[in-house]
Amino acid sequence: MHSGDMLGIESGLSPISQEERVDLQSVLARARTISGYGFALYVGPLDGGRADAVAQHADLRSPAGAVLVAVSPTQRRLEIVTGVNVAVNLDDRACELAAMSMSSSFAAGDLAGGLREGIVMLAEHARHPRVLHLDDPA
Amino acid sequence: MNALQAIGLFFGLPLLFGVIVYALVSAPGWIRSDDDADEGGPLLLTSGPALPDPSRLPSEMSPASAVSGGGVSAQW
Repeated sequence: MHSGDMLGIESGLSPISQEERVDLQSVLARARTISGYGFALYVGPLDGGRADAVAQHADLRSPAGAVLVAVSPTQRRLEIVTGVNVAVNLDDRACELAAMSMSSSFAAGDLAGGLREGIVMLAEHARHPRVLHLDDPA
Repeated sequence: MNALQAIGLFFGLPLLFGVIVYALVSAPGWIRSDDDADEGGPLLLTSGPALPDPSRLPSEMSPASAVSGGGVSAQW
């Protein structure tokens, strides 16, 4: 991976500012609260394509219960990798929907907004089904 | 009160007050502009690890060695 990928600048996307990073960090935390799964966001080069994203996902803490959203603004590439435990609730169709939503925002030049919406959408889909007596003890 | 004191009182003090207010209003922006400078390289943000799911038994959970369960690729 080279370090010349300027977080969106070279592709015409709005770059991610410090304020947006803080916002995305809180979105990731909210996604974890909603779904119970760990979420990670990678913005940078994906020279190896999906293999890079899968390797990045495998490096996460508890990858089986984590979702990685990897975006390469220069290559205009988006990868969503779900862990095996997450895939039980978050199937590929739901990922495709989120990917379509994100892609359309990216195409409009809104990198941070697309990520924000996509991550929340993934979290909503990954929310585990409610279990009687466990989720509603009363 | 001579002319110099009058100018200082009626122009100098308001001007000084205006400069102070301007500095107080603008200072956060000056500080933030340093933080906003984009560093370039890759960015990785993570939430905490997965929360325990009480509806799933440990035996149903896949080991950490089996990691990738699915996902999609897209381009725009």
